[in-house]
Amino acid sequence: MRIPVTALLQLAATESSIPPAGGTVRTVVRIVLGVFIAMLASYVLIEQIGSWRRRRADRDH
Amino acid sequence: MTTEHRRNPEEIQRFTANELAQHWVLMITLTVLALTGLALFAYGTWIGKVLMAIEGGMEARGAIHRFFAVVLMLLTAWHFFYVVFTERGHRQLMEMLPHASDFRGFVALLGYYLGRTAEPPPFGRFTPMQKLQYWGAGLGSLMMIGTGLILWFHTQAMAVLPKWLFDVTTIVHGYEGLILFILLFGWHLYIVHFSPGNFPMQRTFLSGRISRQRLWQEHRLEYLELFGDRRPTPLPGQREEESP
Repeated sequence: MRIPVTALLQLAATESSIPPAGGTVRTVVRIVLGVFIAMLASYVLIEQIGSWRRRRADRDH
Repeated sequence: MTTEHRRNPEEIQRFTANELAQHWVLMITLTVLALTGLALFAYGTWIGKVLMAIEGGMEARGAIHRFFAVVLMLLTAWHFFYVVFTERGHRQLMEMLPHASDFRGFVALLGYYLGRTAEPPPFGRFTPMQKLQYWGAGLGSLMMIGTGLILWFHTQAMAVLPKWLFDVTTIVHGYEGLILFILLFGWHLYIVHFSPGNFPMQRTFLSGRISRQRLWQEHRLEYLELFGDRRPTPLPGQREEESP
């Protein structure tokens, strides 16, 4: 049996469908995701800066 | 001591064939699960549409996703039995347990990167970053399996769960998947292969072997336990590794 995917997506998007719960959860999860990405990016940046500084110091000696 | 000397005396066996096999299965499984999950998660975007087309449409995508979800469950069982019922696996798990010293080591490492100290802090068999990745991927996978089973058997789940919990499960499954994707395909790949001293590729995941020099740099406490304070000889042209 084929699943009527497009029809289901349209149904989910209409105002008459049951409104999905979890709006607050979605916001919290997005904030966690943002903080997580920021932390990882900071780690990479700090490591790259440290590596660049050591390479420069090695060159100067 | 489980780490054995084989072939090149400057290299030691760090991971067994069993551990490498688990890593390979996890690598393939999570890649497929991420790509098939992303096709649905980002359905309204061009990348979602492209992935959906490549994966053969909604139904085929779902079938592939569920097949590899079963593989992930089997792998989880395999890993569970490995770390609980084998001596070697149990020792690895004990080494993986987080301690307060890991947090202090991580802060000291950031201090080293920022030029506050001349030497990186000494780490044992697993660095704090490796522990974070292991527990992040492990607990994340368990959460994905739990929420995924609710979504898979949604008819049965809806009979006993309120709708709001089903909606929350959908959100958690999607975003937790995205977080896992970033953790493994972003940070893990960066630390293992693209960070200073490791680029373009570290080959331990292929052979399970590591050079003494790298062990000295990245797992100093384990090196001292294995070889005492005899420093390894750097390979010709090899620069001091930078990244623990």
